[in-house]
Amino acid sequence: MTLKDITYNYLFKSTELFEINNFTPDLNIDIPVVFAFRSTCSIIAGIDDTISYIEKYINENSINIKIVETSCPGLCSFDPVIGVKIPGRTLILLKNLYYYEVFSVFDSILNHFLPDTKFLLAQIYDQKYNSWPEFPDFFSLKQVKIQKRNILEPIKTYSPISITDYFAKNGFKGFAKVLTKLTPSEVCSIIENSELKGRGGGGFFTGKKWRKALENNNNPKYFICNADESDPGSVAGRILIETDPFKLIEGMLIGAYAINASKAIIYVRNTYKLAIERLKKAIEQTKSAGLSGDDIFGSGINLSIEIVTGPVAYVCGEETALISSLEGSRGMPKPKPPYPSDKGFLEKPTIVNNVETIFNIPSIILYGAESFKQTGIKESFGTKLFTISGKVDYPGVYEIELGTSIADVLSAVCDDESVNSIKAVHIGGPSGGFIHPDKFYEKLVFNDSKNKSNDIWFGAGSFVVLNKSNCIVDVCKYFLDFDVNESCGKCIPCREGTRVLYDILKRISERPPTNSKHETLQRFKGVTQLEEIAVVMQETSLCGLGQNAPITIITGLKYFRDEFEEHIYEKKCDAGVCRDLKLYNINIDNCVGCGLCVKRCPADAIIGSLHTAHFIVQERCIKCGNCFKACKFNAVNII
Amino acid sequence: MEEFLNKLPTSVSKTELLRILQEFQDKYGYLDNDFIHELSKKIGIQPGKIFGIASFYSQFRFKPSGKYIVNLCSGVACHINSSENLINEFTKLTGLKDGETSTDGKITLELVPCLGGCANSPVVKVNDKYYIKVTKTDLLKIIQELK
Repeated sequence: MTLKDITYNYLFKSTELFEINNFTPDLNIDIPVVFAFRSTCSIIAGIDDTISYIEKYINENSINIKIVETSCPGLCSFDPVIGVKIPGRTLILLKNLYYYEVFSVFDSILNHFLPDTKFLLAQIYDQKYNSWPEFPDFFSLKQVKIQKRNILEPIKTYSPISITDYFAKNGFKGFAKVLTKLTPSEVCSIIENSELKGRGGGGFFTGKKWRKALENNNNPKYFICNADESDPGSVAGRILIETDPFKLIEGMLIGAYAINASKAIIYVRNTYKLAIERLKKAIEQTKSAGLSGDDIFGSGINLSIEIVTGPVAYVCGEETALISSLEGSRGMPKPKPPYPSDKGFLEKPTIVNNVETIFNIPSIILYGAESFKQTGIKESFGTKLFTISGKVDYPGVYEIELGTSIADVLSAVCDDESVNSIKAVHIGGPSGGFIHPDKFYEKLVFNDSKNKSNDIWFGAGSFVVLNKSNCIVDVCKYFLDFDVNESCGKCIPCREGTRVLYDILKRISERPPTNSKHETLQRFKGVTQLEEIAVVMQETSLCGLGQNAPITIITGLKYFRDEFEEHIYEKKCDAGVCRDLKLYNINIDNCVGCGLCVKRCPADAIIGSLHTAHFIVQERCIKCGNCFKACKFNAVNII
Repeated sequence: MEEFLNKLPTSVSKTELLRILQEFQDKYGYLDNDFIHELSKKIGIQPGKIFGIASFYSQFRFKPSGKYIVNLCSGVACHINSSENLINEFTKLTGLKDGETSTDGKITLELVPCLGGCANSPVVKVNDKYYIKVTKTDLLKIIQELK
């Protein structure tokens, strides 16, 4: 039987849905199986070395072990994660297994002994197998419990690039249903009823957008997946593609069918090497299974899927800019209307959807709009992926049910002590804002443009936790610096506004040349200007980059005004990040005059003779901090 | 280069432009001035236009890169874990700023907005090798290895 026959039999002959427990790897085979949870973040953490050592171990001991390469569970702090399933026992997950530990750890596991606890993450309970003693269940981990994994599997125990493995999880059943039972208009209605909102930051209703493109009769039409994820601190789209490329393809096929498009394009960021590699393989298999191409299984529908690699520009995440880039121009946004659903790629009706949005499509089609609406809360149904990083103990990619409070998320990703030291959370990357601890009870929901009751802007879903060692002014400055670099320069409010805002912040995070009151006034004036410019930018910029760039500053000023004022009046940075505002001096009571700091000072800024107290000449000091580190008597202070 | 140009189909639409530039850079490492002029003749888009389009994207280089491309991550997670100190340290040690190549043609420094290893920040990438949770001392070692 060819792959095409298998596909046909599976999709169109058997009508029942598979009853599969997604969580249990059905691997009742008599040799040990090793699961390598390999994706870009674990490659960074060194999983490739671990895998090659496992292979070496297998060869040296000439044992029969099967290695399955799959994709990571999104718990980045535990990377590299390796799963081991020995016959008759439950699957155990090992964390932080670096290559140099492989031999000893495998020696003990294969002899039915648990390795050192520092490697133990969890086991996946299954009644069929003997569990390991005194060892938690994966689903009882607080990092897993907080999540509601609808579009990502909690743990993937099969290959992401095998279409038959995807079939075993009801893969392409949604597309088959669309092909055989639903008209394009019905598909649009289901998505409209599900009230699915775009996950890329806009939060626009996906169904409405599709309907508009469907009603436009200007052919050909295009369905585009926006996988040009460029927000610093957000990798959700990449994890999705690396974990389940077939789901993306299925969602796109359904979307293209719903608007009568014959071509679907994935615009993926060029730096996502592994994601591109897996997508290419998946597209190839989809084609040979007969699920894309001309006249799919005799339905008369032609659909082709193509990958375009984006040459990296942040603004291309905006849909009109992305279309410009696809057309071979500079990726600059265009004024809306006309919306791409009327006039998009090559002036034809085009739908641009984010990766995560498309991932929601297959199950909505298969199980219905109502089942989708069972997760989340009113007006914000479903789940959202957040890339949690910063000062947390368990960073990673978390799929959170909408309506969960920020405090709940934080208590799951931090140990108890570190929760208390959190100063702020910054959600949404360059187009998001700060959340103050007083607002941590707020629920994570889509922010309606009409009802700006909270300050939560998802953006692409980056979730950065800041603590006392981070300076709010510095974070604002960081995001503006990013915006200055990435602004395409087409419209003035964004091009000039970001620059002016950056300059003002730079000025207040530097020490003024003189200490006159005039200087302070100038610095203060800067801050009042910040607010004015921010409002103008929000109202007049062409695209989301410019409109949302000042949100960080606005929320920063709203909740952390005292910190800005401290920078202006007291010229002090409590967090000690704004280097230029630091002052080092020597406490003469503690200084024994050992001269160590003099030796370490690269700027010859410390004077004093041996065995008498020393002194720092502020004009020469370059604030490198060497003297502070060198002093053994705690005589150097930072003020 | 001629071989590359000859392989192109006789009529190229503008939507193919970025792909052609990417392919050329993958093969030769950077976009050569002569290549852009030759390409311009072939596809009928003015060289200035091609430069304008290519320079918009951070992927394209117009100068040959060094043997080792050092990517220092300046993403937000790395930033709040003091990647800026690393960048300053790198500049201090090698004299290179973002986009510059050392005179011996060995090291090119490129800052990237996010390498995606946010859990192990700060991250440094040298060609295809990643270094995680890099400190100033680690950075010194990395540079010494390259020299």
